[in-house]
Formats: sequence, structure tokens, C-alpha cells
Amino acid sequence: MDQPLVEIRDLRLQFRTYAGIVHALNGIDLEIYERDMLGLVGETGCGKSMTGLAILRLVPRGGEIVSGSIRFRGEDLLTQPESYMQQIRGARIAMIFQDPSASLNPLFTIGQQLETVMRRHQQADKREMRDRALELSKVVELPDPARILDTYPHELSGGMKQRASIAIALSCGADLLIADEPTTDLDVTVQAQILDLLRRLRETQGVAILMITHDLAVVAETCRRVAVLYAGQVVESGPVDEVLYEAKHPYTRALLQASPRRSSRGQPLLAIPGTVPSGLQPLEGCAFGPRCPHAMETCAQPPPRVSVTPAHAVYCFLYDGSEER
Amino acid sequence: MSEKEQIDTQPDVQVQVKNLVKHFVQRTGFLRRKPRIVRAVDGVSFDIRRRGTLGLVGESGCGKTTIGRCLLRLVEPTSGEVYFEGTNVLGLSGSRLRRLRRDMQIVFQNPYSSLDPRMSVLGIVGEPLQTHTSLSHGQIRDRVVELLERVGMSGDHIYRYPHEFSGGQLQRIAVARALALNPKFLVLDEPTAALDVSVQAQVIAQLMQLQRELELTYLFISHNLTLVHYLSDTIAVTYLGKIIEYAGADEVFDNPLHPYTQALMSATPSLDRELRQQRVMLSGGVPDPANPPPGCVFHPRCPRASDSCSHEEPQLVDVGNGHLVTCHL
Repeated sequence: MDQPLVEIRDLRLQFRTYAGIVHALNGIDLEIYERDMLGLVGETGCGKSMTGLAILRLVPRGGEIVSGSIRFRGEDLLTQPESYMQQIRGARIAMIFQDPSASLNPLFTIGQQLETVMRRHQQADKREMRDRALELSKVVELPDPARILDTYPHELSGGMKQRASIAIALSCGADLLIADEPTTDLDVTVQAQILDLLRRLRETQGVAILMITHDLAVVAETCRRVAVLYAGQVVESGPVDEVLYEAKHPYTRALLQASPRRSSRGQPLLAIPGTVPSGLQPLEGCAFGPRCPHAMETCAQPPPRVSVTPAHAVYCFLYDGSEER
Repeated sequence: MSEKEQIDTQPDVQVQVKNLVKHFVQRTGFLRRKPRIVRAVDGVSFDIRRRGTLGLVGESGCGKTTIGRCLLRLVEPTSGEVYFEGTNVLGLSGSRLRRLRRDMQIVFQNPYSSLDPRMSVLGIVGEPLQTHTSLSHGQIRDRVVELLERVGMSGDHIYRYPHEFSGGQLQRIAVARALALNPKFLVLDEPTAALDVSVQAQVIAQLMQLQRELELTYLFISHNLTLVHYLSDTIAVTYLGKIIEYAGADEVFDNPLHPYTQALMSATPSLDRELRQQRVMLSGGVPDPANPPPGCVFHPRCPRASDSCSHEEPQLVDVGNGHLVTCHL
């Protein structure tokens, strides 16, 4: 297989809090390929946003990456100086967030904000930047680009603001776009437009997209590959069709059974008993063990990585036997 | 009263809403002299059968929350009629309204903001009992413990405070509070929108079980079409303060007639592989409810709009099987 664009190995992240050390990420392994569309799914607190922020080394105060590596085009980002990261952020790896009203500056026009990012990373005169800004607005399908560039964020609807923030993210030709719940605040009809746009940008702009979401249906509709996170660990990863329709890990299965779908009307939604671990205890063994219907004695040991097919991996003792690693 | 007779002929209908209108007046402009009328709910009528669930689905700003609040008179409707078991809710005041409120309760979207952080669970769930009944302190405590157990929580939690609970537990507490006075009708306003799927599954399962056991009638408000289909027997699709399609849940899903319902269904991401086919993509967003388009409110975004759609307002027509739709097509 080709060299991944981003290769994360055994990423561990901890937070110091008054209650003790919170183990937020417990050995994440993940690959993102060129022009990939990878969905990162999981419930609140499973570490999906932290994984996205860790790639950019933007972990919030109190958080510390204690081990692991994040290789971007072969270079380990965790060993680079801060000045190197400043060259990467916004230029090679860009990020968009759930709430565009919070990520756009209310005091500057969309055009000014686009140009600020371009000026930071590229050399261009005013004229060229304006042309590039107009072109980007067309790429993200903002109607009437010349006018929109002179508007302030509050004049735009939620969907338009999200398009503008995507334009800013792509302004320097990023190789990877990290989209953290990009459509969670939007209405379904607008969500469909933004997801469709992201899908097309992957093709036309050649950008890889890491889609962080809690919604399995969004992943099913937009992504090519998916990684399911639970308590700061990847429990299953692989092509969307294999992971969502031939799910192996008990947690992936439970999550799918808890999601209402059209064909499930009249059948009970299966809730997952118990709650997500708090992260205050260091993980020993499988994190899902205490809630798993198939838990065995061996589950107190760290689960092995089992390849179901070459691209589909599950971290569970149930499929142990053809263990490799 | 003529309306009353009409209700008596349909004993199965618990809640009947006729031509409900709520206009909010905002004052804008220099010295706030310019009134701006937001037509949040603009002529909505529906019935909810006893022990049934009506699902109210639509995008933000379509008036679904306002409809729910108008039914309980948490928001005073501009005009229209709301009947609860034959009594016009809008004509009541004082003690008779208070009496009626015991039968109609609401669960809000966000339990983090709807529950007072400075009150214990005993205070939160016991408050309606204190207001509406003359139970002693001990009796209230016993009832709160019973209610908590009913929603699948331990009675030991009564002296705890909201910050000690997870979102799913808080929403159960909110449901327990709503059930305190043995209501007959519950408005569920996006009760699971703030919750994770596995927790949502727990809360939904609980709500369905409670409905069976306590013979409750639900108005379930949500933007999530799949979820509404899952637990409603009738669905009303709203758009800009109007109901644009109204039919049995399976009928709406199998045979959506209004172009907006069709677009909403195709825009909803689905886990069912067979349903992932071609999409009807709508352009733009929901228009400003202060300035709705003339004619059919949906025509500027409608892929099949014709000339007449821009000046003639379509009426709700029955196309058979109680399937109502407002569309010229």
C-alpha cells in the first residue's frame, strides 16, 4: 500500500485535572492516505476531537502528549519545533470546526479573513490575493462571491459561514482537512449540501479529509474508510462498507443497534448497558470489556489487532486466532 | 358549544388544535419603531389520538417548538383553538388552567439548562408536587423515589445535584419531573438532541415503555426524521410555520408527496444502504419567517415549482387514507 499521508502510532494523551490524571487517548493507531476520506466516529468523550487537535499539536492547556508519533509525510510532528508547526498549520493541514460563528472573526469581512491566512503562508500582492479569494469562493460554491467577500460573518447563514470557513481552510492548498463535526449545527437539507461539497472537494482539490463525527449515518454517506473510537482507543477500522455492514467489534455492533434507522421501526433500539469509563483509571485490557456482552477473562489483557481483511482491522479477542502484528 | 359537540363525536382524540397562529412582534430600526412580525406558527391544525404519538418534524425556525409551547400556553398563541379532552385550553385562566396543567407536561431539549443546578433531585422532581398537591414532605419524598425508579434510576439519587449526572440521567430526571403529577399528555421537545446515540436509545426505550405503562399521549418534536418515524404513529412535517404534509408514519415514509418532505428524506443521512441513492438537493436555506415568500412558502426552493406556486397559496387537501398535503401538484 502507498505511504500514508499521516501515520499515527500509539498516541497517548493525558490531562492533569484536580481529580487526577485523565487518560484521554490510550494508544491511537491511525493512517490517513492521500485524497482519503476517513471518518472518525465515537461518542462524547471518546477522544475524537482530541485526536484531531493532537495532529495539529493544538491540545488544550493541561493536556500533554506523553508518547507516540504522528508522521506527516514521513516527518514526526511531535519532535518538530513550534516554528515548524506554524508552517504546517493552515498551510498543509487545516481544520474546520462545528460552529463557524465561533471560528470566524466577527470584526473582519470574509475576504479579509481569507487574505490574512494567505498572507501568512504565501507571497502575493493584493490583486493576486483577491483573485485567489474569488476563485476559492467559487470552489466552495458561495453565491455571488464578489459581494460575499465584503460581508461580515453575521450577515451570512450557518451554511454560508461553514462554506466560508472551508474556503479559508483550503486557501493555501492544504493536503489534509480536519473537519470536526462540520455539519452538527446545521439543518439536514443544509448538511446534505455541505457533505456533498466536502465529497467533491476531495476529488477536485485533491485534499484528504478527516471527518470527525458522532453520526454513523454521516460516515456511511460520505466516507471511504472509518475508524471507531472508544475510550481513547481505536476499536475497529477499515473500509466503510466492511466496518458498518460487517461490523466485528462488539462496540461497533452495539452502536449500530442503538441507531434508529428506517428498517428498525417497531423493533426495540438496543441501549448499551453501563457508561463510558471516566478515564481517571489507566486502561488495562479492553476498555469496552465491562460493558461487553462477550467479555471473557482474557479481556483484562490489551486486545490484539486482528486483520479481518487486509484493510479491515478489529481490536478484540473474539477474533483472535489469526493474530498478526 | 358547537366545538364541544364535535369533540364528543370523536372520543379517541385527546388533543385537537385548530388554526393555531403565533406571531412574534420584534421591534427593529431607529428607536425600535419598525415592528417586524415573525410568523412562527401560521395556521396549524392537527389532532392527537389518545395514547398515540404525533411526530412534529421540520428544520430550525419552522415553528415546531413554538407549537409545543403554545399547546401548554407557555407561549400565548395569537389566535386559534387548542382543545384538551374537549376543553378549550386557550379559554381557561386561574385555577382551571392550573388544574389542566397537571395533565399536560413538557420535557425540554437540553436537560443541562432546563434543570436548576442549585436544586437537588428531590427539589426538582418534587417541585410540581409541592405546587399542585398537599402532600407532606415525607409523602413527596416517597413519590420522588418511586418516580426515579420508574424512569430506571436509583432512588438513592434524591439528594444529589444536576452536575453529578450525565446527560442521559438528567433527561430521565426531567422525564420523572414531567410525570410527577400523572399527566395524560406529554410534549417531548427534542428530548434526545443533546445526547449520544447509545444514551438516546436508552431514553427512547424508556419513553416508549412509559407510554405503554401509563397510557400517555405524546407530541414528539424533532428535526430527526428517522427518529420521528421510529416512534410516532402519525407525522406532521412543518415548514415555515405551516404543516405541509400530515399522514401515518409509514405512509409519509413510503409515499412522501410534498417536494419538501421528499427533499428532507433524501437529505437525511441513512445507515440503510438501499436508501442511499440519488438525492434531491435543495438550494439555500429556510427563508426568514418574518418575510415569508408569497404563494406556497416552499416555492423558492422547490425543484418542481411552477408559475401558480408563486402567487396561489395551496390548501391542505386529503389525497386519501387521511394523507394530507399542501401542494398544487
